[in-house]
Amino acid sequence: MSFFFIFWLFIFPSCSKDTDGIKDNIPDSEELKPKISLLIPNMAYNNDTIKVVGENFGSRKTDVSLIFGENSAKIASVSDKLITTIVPTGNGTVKISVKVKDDISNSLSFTYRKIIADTTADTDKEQIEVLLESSDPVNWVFTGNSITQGAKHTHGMRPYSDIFAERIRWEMQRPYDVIINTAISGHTTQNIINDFDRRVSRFNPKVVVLMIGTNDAAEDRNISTESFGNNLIALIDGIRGIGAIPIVMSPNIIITEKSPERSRLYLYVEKMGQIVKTKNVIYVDNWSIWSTELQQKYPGGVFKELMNDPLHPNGYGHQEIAMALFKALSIFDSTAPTCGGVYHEGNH
Amino acid sequence: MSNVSIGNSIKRLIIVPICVVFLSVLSSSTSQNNDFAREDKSTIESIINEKESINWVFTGNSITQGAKHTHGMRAYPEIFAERIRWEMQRPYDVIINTAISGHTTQNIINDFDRRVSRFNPKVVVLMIGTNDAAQDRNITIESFGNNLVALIDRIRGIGAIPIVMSPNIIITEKSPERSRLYLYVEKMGQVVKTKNVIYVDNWSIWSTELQQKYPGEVFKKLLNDPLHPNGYGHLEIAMALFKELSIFDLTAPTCGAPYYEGYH
Repeated sequence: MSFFFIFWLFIFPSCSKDTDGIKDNIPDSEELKPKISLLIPNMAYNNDTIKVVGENFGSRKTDVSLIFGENSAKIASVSDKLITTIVPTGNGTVKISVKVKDDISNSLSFTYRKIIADTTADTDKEQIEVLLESSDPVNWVFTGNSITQGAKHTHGMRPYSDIFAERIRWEMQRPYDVIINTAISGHTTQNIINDFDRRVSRFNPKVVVLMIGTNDAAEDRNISTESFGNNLIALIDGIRGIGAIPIVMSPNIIITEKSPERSRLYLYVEKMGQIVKTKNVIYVDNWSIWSTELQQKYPGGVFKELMNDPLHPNGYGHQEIAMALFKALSIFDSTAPTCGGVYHEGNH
Repeated sequence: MSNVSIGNSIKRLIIVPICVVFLSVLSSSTSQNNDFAREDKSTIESIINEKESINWVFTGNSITQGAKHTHGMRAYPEIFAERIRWEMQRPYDVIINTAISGHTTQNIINDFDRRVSRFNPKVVVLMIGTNDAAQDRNITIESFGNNLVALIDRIRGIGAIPIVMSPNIIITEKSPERSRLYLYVEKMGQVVKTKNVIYVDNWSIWSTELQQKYPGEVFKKLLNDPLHPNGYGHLEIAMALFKELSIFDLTAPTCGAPYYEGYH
């Protein structure tokens, strides 16, 4: 990559000279357009500072904007050939371009480093890897609210816990593993704390997947973000207390205009993000995935394609949640039908 | 009890005329079902009507596991879970699937504790036979019958109610190694009768009712290969189970009614 860039830098000035010669000093608007040639580095975390090298950036901060995928970045400093910027929230690989007044530059690829994958819950992830490599069967408990229950909204399709069962028990050939779903429609963190023994402990799980928050955030439940945080901690500690590994999943995004009573859900998700970080827990951040990656996969169509009402994922939404979980556990395989691969159809 | 007899009268009203016209075989199996395992059925009815939650274990082979062939649709135990936990509002009930692809009655006997007992179920649903009938398994019809008796007794032994389901029909030309499956189903029919066990006779339903529902197309519409039901086949199996337990409701999505679609 860098070799190519150096090569390109050498070529580029000679090209523009030729162009000048041909056009005989007629001002070339192409030449004044911003161009970017290098990102230092081209992989970073959210909130990291990176440098964008190029030309024709001008020197006025107010004239310049920097776009990461669909998000604008905060600019720290600008000179004609160098912009220093703060990486905005995002995921995966995105295109970066610079806009100076009305002129937009070429774009270069930038990859977000995954904070969770790289720095947290490594021990838990390794342990799950060990569990999956061992021939001892594992009980997996899934609990939460209607979303995890898979109630009402999947039109006969499998909700994510059933897709997980197919991935583990069939595709990954661990048929003696048992997947138990004790999620209940309408429930909050408080319900699961109250029911912990009957819904979690008694099944002696090695891993407990908890997707929760959408009801906690409903006004009439009177669960403050503070209480929600404390409940999450209690649940995580409870799960660790029975020798199981917790996996926490944030809720999918919702159609807030149609569910104003849950308009503060984003604050609960924010709290969840803080807690999983503090408690060093495996975190599948559906909220963020549905806000970024899936917006790119289904531009303008996330709600239409992946939901069945303002709150609940449909079968395809569940597929996305399952795939996010597989990725977090490094068991995603794009050729497998549970991961979006082609379904088998035999002779019949 | 009154619900049961009303349900049964309705069943007679609907099914018997069809049987008289089309198949005397079906009529005998239907009248048999009416008095069949009555005690178990009323126990299940009272379990469902009571508040106390229970565990249901489903076990068997790849069909019950729902492996590979449903194209993302729910397998029948998963449809059952939706019926019980959501539609019938028994959210504290737990549905556990310990079925394993390739398995026979013998495998389940060997694994009984880890696959059945340890979950302390009140009801155990067993759909089995398709692999038992495969030539290379060397399980005679007699052994199959004995294994079934052993499984039924062990399920009763842990205080649970057994529900036995016969396999769906298969495309015999494409699976000649299982061409004797019908004899295993025949044996199953005898065993469940002797043992007075709730019996969902998929074999018979797929051979008669569903032939009328999908004329000439049962294999095309309901299977995904010569042996395995697809998602729609699983829906039929689930509905047959609901009917046998008198929890079938035409207006419920798990029973074929339209699915709910909200604003989104």
